Amino acid sequence: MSSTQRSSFARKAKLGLWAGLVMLLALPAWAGYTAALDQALFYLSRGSTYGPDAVRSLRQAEAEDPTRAWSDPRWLEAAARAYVQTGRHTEAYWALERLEAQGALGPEAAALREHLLEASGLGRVRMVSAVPLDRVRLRMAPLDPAALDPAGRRAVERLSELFDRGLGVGPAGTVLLVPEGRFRVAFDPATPLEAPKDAVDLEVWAGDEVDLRLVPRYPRPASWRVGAGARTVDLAWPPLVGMTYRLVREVPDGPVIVCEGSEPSCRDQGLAVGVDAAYRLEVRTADGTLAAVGRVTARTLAPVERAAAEAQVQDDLRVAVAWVLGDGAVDEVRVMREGSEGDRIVLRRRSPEPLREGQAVDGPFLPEARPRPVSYRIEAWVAGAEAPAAAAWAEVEIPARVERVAEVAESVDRGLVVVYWETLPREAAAQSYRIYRQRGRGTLGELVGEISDAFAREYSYEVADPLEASQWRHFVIPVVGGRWILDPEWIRATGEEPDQRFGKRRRMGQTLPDLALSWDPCRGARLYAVVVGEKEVLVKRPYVEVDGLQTPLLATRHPVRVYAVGAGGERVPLLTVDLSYRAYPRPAKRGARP
Amino acid sequence: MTRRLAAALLTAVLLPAGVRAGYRVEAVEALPLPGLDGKGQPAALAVDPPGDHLGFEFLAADGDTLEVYLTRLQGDEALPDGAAPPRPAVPAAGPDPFALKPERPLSEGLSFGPPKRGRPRLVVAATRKAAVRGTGVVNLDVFLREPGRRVFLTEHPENDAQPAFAPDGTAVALTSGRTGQGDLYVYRLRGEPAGLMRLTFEAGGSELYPAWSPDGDRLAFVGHLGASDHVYLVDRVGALLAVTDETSRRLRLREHLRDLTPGWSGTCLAPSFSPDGRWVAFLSRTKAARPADLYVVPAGGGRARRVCRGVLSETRGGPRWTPDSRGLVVVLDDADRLNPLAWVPREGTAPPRLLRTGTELNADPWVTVRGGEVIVFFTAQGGVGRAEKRWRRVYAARLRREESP
Repeated sequence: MSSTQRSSFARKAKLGLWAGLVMLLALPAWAGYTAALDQALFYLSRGSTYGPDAVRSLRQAEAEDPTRAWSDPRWLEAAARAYVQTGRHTEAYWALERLEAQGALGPEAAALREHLLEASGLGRVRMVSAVPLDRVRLRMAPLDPAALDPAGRRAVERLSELFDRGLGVGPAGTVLLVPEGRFRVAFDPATPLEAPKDAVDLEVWAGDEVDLRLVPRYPRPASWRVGAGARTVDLAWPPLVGMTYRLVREVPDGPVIVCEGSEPSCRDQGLAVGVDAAYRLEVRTADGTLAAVGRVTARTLAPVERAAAEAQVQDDLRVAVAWVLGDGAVDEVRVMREGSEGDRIVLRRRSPEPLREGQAVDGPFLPEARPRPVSYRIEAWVAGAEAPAAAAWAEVEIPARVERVAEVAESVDRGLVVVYWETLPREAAAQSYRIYRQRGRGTLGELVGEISDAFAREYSYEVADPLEASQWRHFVIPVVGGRWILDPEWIRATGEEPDQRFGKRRRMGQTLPDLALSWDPCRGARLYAVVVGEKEVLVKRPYVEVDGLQTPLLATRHPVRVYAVGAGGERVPLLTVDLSYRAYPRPAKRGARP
Repeated sequence: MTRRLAAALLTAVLLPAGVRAGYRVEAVEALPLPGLDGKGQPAALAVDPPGDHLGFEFLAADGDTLEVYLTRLQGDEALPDGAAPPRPAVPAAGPDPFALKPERPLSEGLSFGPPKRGRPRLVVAATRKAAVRGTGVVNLDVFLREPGRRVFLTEHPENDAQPAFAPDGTAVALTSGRTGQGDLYVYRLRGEPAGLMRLTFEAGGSELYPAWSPDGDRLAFVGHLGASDHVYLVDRVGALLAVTDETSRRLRLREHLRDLTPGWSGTCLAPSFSPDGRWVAFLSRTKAARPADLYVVPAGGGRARRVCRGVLSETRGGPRWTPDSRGLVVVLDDADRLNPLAWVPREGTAPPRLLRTGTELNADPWVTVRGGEVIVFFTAQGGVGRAEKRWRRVYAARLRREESP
């Protein structure tokens, strides 16, 4: 025998071993069921005297394997006979019904079923519930016990035993075989029934069927989906096939129909804030019969009690005010900027949906010489209230404006020029920053870009010739309120405002300024004195252009001062800018510059 | 004109009421029995109290089976224009483990009770499979059939027969041979105690033909003791049956029992109460070979009066009273006139008034009220001149009451 054959044989043996083990484990239940059923059949063959013994054995078999019992025609047929012999007509009928459902109802079983239905003196009570109910417990007491014959009394006793075990009732109905007479049926209070709540009287006629329609509570409390809003309540429930729903809000003046239809969900609107609302769901069949009733109570949101806010200065010098509200109802959120002259409403937002969080943007704020605080108050309002339900405050500081660019550095790496700078004060802000570059004589101060980030400290752009770019020098001019802030070595006033961009002026052969400086006009000023280092120039208009500035001033630091000159010669300081070029990397060979 | 007026006055003043009143036949219809006509002889007709269902015994042509059949009368008019196919009152034998009927069924003595939800309730004496022992042995038990229930009320090797449903439907009186002599029993279908209870205890005689009063509180029967029969009456039957102990009931029976025919020397057969409960009619023969005579005795006691001579014996349910209790419908035992139907006044002061149905060899009359009209059902050998007279058929005749004959 080859090793492959031995391996195959071992595998099969192993499988067989496992199969045998499984069978061994299942054997007791299988054998127990079969033995009990055989015992029951033996008792049945001995006549009706042994009916109780047969019932006991059948129940033992059922306990061993209930699924097998209720699908085994032998067990079902034996159960029908044994139950009839012992007066348990209802259980016998169930077994016969199961046989018929399986198509296994033989002639004798069919005759027995016919006997039960038409000749036994029993009527049928069909308990129907649109929603399946388990372990329904009930009591069925004859209203006129004397009217029952001994067989009827015995049947009632058997039914009581059955009821003690609890019944399952579903849409298809559960049939009880009941002696003819009038009975009072009372359900265990623990049964989730909406109706009948009290005892109900039934009149049972032999051979006839009477319906006992149960109206269960549906859905179960855990199955409700409840969403409470400020003035709304959203309800949803598991759907039932073929049913329609009516949702009713119960109020002291009477029920109010909220929704009707086949959709298993509904929104109730127009409620007050923070109130309880009781709802009753009526589930109806296609013909309008009440099939189930559910009850639920929902509470609309109470007014919000907690709020939090935060404010932050954005890159564009606007202030973003963000808020978060706690759980609760809110109809309107107001964001107000507090000021000494009164509050100013920045935002007023109403929404049918709960306003849990949001953001308002205020500004932009021009930075001033000194930092200044700005305060905001956020109020959460419920409509109709006299005071806000919750409020929060947020404060932010608008940074001081850039006095000057303190240091500029630059790097060129593979065609990418990166310009870095620092400002004074360090955390100061400007509306934007203009970046110029010095490309040699006659091209000084060429604008290469502008960045509108108030807190920008870096700018980059690409160049085609990194080698050439490495010899360039850059300077950065912060812009605040339309003014440029710069640091020239000497100033030559043009006496007029530039009306052409640098590029065009260069193409026209005109000299380009290195820098231009402007400031706010000062009332009463006859002239303006611009002092750069030791040089001074007087201009009539609040504007000056400077060229030929950079090269001689490398690695120097120059304060720029602008004064308003009055009619009497008095001077009022307007602007102070310090430009420093110390951070500029020096070229390796001065003579290599073009 | 004067002569007619004088005759009317003479009739009104001199003749008793029974002579003045009477019935005549207004219409007669044959009632086909689908599936049975021509296959045997119907007899012992009975109609349920609402007049909706007809029951009858049917002796099959082969003579082997006698069964009670039940059919629903059809037609909106008082006189039915047909009947649904009759079905045996006792269900056929089958694979049912509770099979009720042997292969050669026998059922008889139909008695209707009050209907239940528009459907008939009845009792019959029938053979049951388990009680038949060998060929020729007939054992009858009382079988109850009502909506949703078909059950033998009795089970005994001796015969239980002549069941009579109480008018209120709560009990069935019957004659049982289980004591060896024939005694009356009452099976109480409801109440406490329920079940079979013995009502008579005469050791040396037999009690037969139980008949309930319309109010259900009295029971008439024939007591056979020695050479003569008597018609007895048990008053307040309910109170007597409330005595659960049989010995006590036996002692108490004397307080409830009355002999309606003291000193009677002839036979008595099949008593029946008048609809108003005041009279009891019964049949009697002075000699066995002679036809029976019809007697009426006051239920409260009094002399029995012969009201008609020579009538056919109606042992199933007794003589048939008309609804007004003024008389009875009988079949005259008159071979010359082929046994005609006749109405007999209760007092017997006038001769029987023939009911001209146009049929021959009439028998088994049953009087009922249907649709407000008095209808008499009967069997006959067929209309005059009909070719086929071999099989009896069922007929229905509408009677019209007349104050003046």
